[in-house]
Amino acid sequence: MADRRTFLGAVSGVATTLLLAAAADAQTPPASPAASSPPAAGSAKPPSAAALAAAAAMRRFDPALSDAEVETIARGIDDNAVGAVLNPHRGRGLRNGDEPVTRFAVAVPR
Amino acid sequence: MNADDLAFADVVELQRLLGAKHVSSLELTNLYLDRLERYGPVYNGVVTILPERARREARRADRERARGIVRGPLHGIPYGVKDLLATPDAPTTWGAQPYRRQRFDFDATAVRKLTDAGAVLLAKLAMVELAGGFGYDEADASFTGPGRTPWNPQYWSGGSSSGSGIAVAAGLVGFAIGSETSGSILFPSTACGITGLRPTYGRVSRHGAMALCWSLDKLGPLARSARDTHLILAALAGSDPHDPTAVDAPLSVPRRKLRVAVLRHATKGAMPEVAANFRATLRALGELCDLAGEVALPKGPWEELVGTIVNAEGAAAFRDLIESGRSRELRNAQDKLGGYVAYATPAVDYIDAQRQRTKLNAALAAAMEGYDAVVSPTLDTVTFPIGVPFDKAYPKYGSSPSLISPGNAAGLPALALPNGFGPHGLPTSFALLGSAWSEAALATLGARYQRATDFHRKRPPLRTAAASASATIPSSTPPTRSVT
Repeated sequence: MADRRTFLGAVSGVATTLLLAAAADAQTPPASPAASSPPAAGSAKPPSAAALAAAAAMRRFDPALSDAEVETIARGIDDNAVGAVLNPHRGRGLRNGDEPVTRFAVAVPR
Repeated sequence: MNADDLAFADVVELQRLLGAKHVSSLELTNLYLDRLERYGPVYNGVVTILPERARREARRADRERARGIVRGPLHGIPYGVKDLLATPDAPTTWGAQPYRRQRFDFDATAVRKLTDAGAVLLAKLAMVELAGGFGYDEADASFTGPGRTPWNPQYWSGGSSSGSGIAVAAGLVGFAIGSETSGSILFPSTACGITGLRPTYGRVSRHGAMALCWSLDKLGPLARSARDTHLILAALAGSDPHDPTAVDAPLSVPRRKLRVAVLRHATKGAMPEVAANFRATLRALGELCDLAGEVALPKGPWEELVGTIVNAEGAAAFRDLIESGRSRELRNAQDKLGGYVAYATPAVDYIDAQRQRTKLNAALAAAMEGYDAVVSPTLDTVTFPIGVPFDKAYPKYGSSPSLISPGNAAGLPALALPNGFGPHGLPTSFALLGSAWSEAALATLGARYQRATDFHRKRPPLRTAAASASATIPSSTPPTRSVT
């Protein structure tokens, strides 16, 4: 999966991980959770109930979303669980005091 | 010099010809306008041609030159911009159906700076819808149709600065401006066999440019030579009260031989042709710089952090579109639903991505310590066939470490240069990833490489619309002409 994602990083033009979760799932069991784009419907594993609920909530924006589309979005949300890779409890070394690269600052008057 | 030679000359050569009065800016402009009309639709490279503005600016440049006023090396040079830069002359479509009638009443700062430098705006160029922010998986992701590389129109031009790559490669403009969030200058430069420079984050103002991801978006030049990229960047660079991230920083070259490292395992997952071309590149670079040692890419969730940041910031940037339900109007199937997936990104994931970014950027800086640049193939493969999902195109390749996500996460500059050809007559390239603010050094080394090689002077075998019709290559939406 890491190799797959490297490939994606090279090809996507922008979002790197936004692509191909379904294809990646089909080819290689993910070593880490995939990122965001909606995989094709018909993947073997059903989406989680939480993802289905979040996906169904998108009908408030597009009431015409079909059940299949909601399921596709839900699979994308599941595959987008990159927090497992990024968060501090999975051995990636983030500690309480580690600050984000973007910080709020108050300008000092000249 | 015949018309083709003129169309494919680089900016430096065009400026020499203008200065020697071998050609006027208006003649050059008319030549490119004709080529944009003739070839733009074949390769799906153009959204809007701006003949009135272009001729007005060209006449002004010629008048000034006649009075002895030459604003700089871009004076009178015609160019195009990716259609995410605002201009008042035409719609600014962001490559996406929901924005096809969107208009702004001002020039983006990048366009204004090029106008001030005497350059001539010819056209708004095609792009992947929303610069790819919703996760497209095929070349079809633009309302103008799939961008086709002039080297082989059955293959993708790369994205998201598709039209910028096409127009430079096919000699439809003197140079072009594109944008990169994570790969959108480097990929089309590779696919179209041209030279592309992704500047340091903050080098170029993004005021008037479509925002996809505030902490990653950059604007930069796509051109026919490395020396051109330096000249264009010099005109674009600098602070802007409308973009607080844009700063003034020197464009200087060290007075010593540049020290360059090779990315470790750079070709382990590359096509054989990409690997062979890269080996030849290293032999050439060995004569031009101090090619010393290897650098290993620091391990980390580079792709995840960039993907998470693009998801969260992109969903915010296009919140109106997502919440309106109109993302269904986008062209690519993934894009129609990808916004909803991005919208569901947890805030804590976004913050953790920005926290990981602090740590990984420091690790990358430490790995590059003592080097001016790291070199690797830009991509493991040649560009993809149109009509095939990206991940299905070359499943055997793609496992080499990539500098695209790390370089973008760290806001570092990179220069992609053509270095040969692979299967199907398609170009390959290598990239130099530099330390922050080192664009001039990268361009100088690139120019030395291009003096020793001729890949950047190769011309694709262009087709006309009639030829492409007989070859059953459909062109999608013809470019419109501005009426103002």
